[in-house]
Amino acid sequence: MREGGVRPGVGKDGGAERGGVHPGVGMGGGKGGAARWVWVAAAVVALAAGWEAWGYQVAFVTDAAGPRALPLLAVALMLAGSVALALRPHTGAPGSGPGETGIVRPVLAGALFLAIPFLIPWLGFMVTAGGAMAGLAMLLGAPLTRALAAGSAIAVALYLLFVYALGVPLPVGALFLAPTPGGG
Amino acid sequence: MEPFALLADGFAVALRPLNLSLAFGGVVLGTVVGLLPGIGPINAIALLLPLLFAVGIPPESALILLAGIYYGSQYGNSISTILLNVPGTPAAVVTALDGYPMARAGRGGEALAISAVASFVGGTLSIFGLVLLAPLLAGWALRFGPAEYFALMVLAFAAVASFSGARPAASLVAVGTGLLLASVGLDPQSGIPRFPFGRLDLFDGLDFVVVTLGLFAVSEVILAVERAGAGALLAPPIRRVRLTLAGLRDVGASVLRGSGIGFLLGVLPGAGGTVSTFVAYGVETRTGGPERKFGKGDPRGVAAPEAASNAAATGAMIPLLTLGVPGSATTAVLLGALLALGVTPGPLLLDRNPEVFWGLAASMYVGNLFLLLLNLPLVGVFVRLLRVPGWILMPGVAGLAVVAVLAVNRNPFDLVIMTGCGILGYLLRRGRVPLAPVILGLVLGPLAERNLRRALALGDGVGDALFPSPLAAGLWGLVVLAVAGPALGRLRARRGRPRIQ
Repeated sequence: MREGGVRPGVGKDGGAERGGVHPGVGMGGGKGGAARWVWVAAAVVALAAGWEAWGYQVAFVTDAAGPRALPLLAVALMLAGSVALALRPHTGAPGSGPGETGIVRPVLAGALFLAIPFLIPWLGFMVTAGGAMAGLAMLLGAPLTRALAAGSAIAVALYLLFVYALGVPLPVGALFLAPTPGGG
Repeated sequence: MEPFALLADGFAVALRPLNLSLAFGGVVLGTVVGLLPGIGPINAIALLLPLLFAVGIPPESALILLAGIYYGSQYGNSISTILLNVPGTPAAVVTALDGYPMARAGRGGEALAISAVASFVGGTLSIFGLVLLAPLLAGWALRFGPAEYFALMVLAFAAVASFSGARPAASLVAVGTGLLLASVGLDPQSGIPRFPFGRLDLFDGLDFVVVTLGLFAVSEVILAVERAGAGALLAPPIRRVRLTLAGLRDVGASVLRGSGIGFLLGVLPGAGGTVSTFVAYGVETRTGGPERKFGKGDPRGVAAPEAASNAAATGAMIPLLTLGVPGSATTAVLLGALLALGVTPGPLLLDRNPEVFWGLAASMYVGNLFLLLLNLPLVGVFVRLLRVPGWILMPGVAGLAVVAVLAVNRNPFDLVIMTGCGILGYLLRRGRVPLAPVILGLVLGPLAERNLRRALALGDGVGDALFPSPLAAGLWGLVVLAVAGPALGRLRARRGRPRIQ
């Protein structure tokens, strides 16, 4: 997408090698390296989906394609594409945009997003979102105090906008609710 | 003259105070999200949709707002393309070729003025085309049966995938991923749950707002985190946006050529935006006259693609509204939004919901006028928005995505799906897999499946089911062209190049 235009000059072989999404996998394998294994993994996922979809059958005469046609077509396309890319991972535009900061920060960002749905029922929207957004701000390079300020400002602003202006209820959190006979 | 009488009714809808303010709000918001790196119209539409449900405004008003974001973002995108050399869409890459050199030479204000005027002319002329062509196409589309619709949808997939500029194999992965995401949930025809993973939450399928925000917004935030510390981009200050009559005369012909090319290509499902700017630029470089400086800051190199991309954006509304077949990622999201709002685009839309179609067309005239009036004097203000630091902008986008997803179904499990799609989107983008076919597959997949199964039920054998008419056969011919054309071009280019890299 955008990276190609902003950061030209990444060598054809350098990109996937340094910026592979699975560092540590196949790094010693010379050309292809990590990128190849990601495509192999995609092909395996497609095969598993195909295995599952094969069982979706009905005996209606009027429904010749049946419920499995769409998923099986999807699997065929994914399989063909990812096998081709696994065989020739480098025949594309230059580089896949190597991460300047390695894999740790994107993984942390993903983990922050993933934590939100599990924390929201207990901590409520305000605390969870405020904390997660402050964490993201820090990952984006803000110092601690600024990150906390940004996170809490975003959480409060969104809460006010949705709950009061738009009338969309947001979870308050079990921790902050007084126990009631009917359950929190 | 009938279309113009109907258009007059449309103006009555568009000039209602609510719709007028929504058109204004839409184009301002569109300019802002088109300008800011990493948001874009797709996220803005997906973020706003749950909000529109909460407020409960009529569908034509919602569409006026969402369409305003769509074409307004084109103006905003031009600003960051010209000043920062950061094209937010593949189509805008062409504008950067001459726009950025102009900005570096201190002529950024002039480039922005040309871009605004060219966008306005391209947009306005093609609304004219929309008003004339859409009723004709809608009448013609009444003859479409399931087989024709299925072929048309396959054509949209083929065109979007082969014009995405990505490797063909990556496009296959993208379409496949979108169709796979689309097949999750209860099969509406047989009632069989597909890929339920034992969770009742998945029986309803994946909500397209949730998937879209994951694929685009969450993956963008993760990419921004990865890039943090790579150094910020600084926009050169804009002193004044100058617009001279002589300057306009120089680019006038280019604007008109670009508008025509953009509209014609925009109407074709799938080809749309990206191709139109490249073609318009190519035509300019050939007909540009004696004093050519293309690539070094020629105003005509800004004018033609800018007119073309706006004309194509408007032209793309024709297949979307009259056939219900989107030709790009953004129009696919618009289709999803329309369906969610209870409006079914198709040949009957003009008859059943005239206020939606004609109100939208009229509001687009008004919106483009707003954009021109806003962009000439206020470019400096918009440029200042580019200084908002990423550590405020990106958590803001993430927070909005979380609230929007919670507002859709009030189910925190949707956040897990959004994050999963975010990680998927991140991996796809790192693997240089285009996201447009994914979103097209997600929105169009179920419609294509329904039409295919209907066609098979109606036809006598597969051959008869898929090729019941010359029209269907013609559409399949276009599918072959869309797939084979770019592939042949690539093959020829490869042969022309030396063997050793």
